[in-house]
Amino acid sequence: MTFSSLQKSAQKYRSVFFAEEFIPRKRRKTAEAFFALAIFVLSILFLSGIFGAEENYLIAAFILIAIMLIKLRMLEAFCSSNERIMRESADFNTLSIVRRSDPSDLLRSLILSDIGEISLLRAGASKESLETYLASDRVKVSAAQFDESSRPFSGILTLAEYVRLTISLDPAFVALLAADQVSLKDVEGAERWISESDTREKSRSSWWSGENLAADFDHLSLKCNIQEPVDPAAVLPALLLRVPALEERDKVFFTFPALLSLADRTSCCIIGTAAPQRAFEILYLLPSYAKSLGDTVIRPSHVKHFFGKE
Amino acid sequence: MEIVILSFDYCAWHYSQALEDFFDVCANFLFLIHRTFSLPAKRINQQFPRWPGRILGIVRAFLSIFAGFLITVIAFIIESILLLIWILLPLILLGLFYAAIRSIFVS
Repeated sequence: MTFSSLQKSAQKYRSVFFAEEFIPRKRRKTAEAFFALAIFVLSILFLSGIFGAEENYLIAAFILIAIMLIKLRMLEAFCSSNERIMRESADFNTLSIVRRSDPSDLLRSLILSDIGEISLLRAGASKESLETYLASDRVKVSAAQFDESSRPFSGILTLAEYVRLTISLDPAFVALLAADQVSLKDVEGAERWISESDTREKSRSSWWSGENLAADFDHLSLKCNIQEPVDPAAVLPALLLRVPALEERDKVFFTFPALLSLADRTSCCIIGTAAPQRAFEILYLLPSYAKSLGDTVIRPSHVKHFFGKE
Repeated sequence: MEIVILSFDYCAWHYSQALEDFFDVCANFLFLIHRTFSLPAKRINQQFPRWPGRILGIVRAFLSIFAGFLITVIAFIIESILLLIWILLPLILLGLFYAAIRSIFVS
């Protein structure tokens, strides 16, 4: 996973990034709500007879607002569709930072990016420290150094991993963060939170997706990122797991044996393959289905049999 | 320049990936209908071990399956209409824009 390959991926989706910069998602949603309200009000006015068909300007306004609303929805669909495809091979937030990064000074580009700045501040770094660092005589983190350190990674490089790799290449910056009592783990956690909040919000707004329509029925699909490189034959050292159906609604860390014992306690089955891509799907199944399959870890072929697809 | 590239990419997406996504969404809805209205025979046997109850169960299953079939047919019709609208959407928007401009300039 080299920096240039990330930039190539970002270039492939440049239209999506441009659309996000041109009209950010929040602004699109606000505009949609405003236009929908305007159409609703105009419809009421026409239907109530306050304004008749002779009010040409109002009719024109009604039609133009409807066109704007449709176009905004089409743009949203375009961005969502492409982001969903992008997620299979790359992380949207990572690429949005990489796209604007200067290959000779990656850390500066990270700090100056919106996501980078928000996550560092959220992790506990102070704005003054970041400004001091940028203004100081410092060692620049280059793309070549990044390529060297990212060599062990294959598959999708998440935002948290990208940030950790970039920051750890400059010990002076790590020391600066430590002075603010911020560790790399704190920064990673903040990045992960931002990415997951973003993904969760987008997934929730796509109510027509398979994940949402099937969620109340037989399974909840949870994507988990593994913190450490995974040896498929070994027990996983740690998992970040969200289990919204259980009492623990916040993010918690489990070891894999603890996760299996949690499964025993709730009579559910967990499907997982320790993947080279460092992420795997946990499907939380209803007890009735779990019982019919037994209480061992199930293979993905069972998933195919039950859901009719991988 | 970026706007032009976005327009081209959008047009390509509208008639390729978007249609694929549309069919996926249709499949999700059909899956939802199937899960809501299907009632396997095994569950009737389990819920109603005796015959009088089983007859009631069979009637209920038949009504549920019939309702599911009806809703599936309606869903197919709606999905076909939506597919047609999606394919013709650029023309529809052009037509609406023309109608709006005409409304302003023609009394």
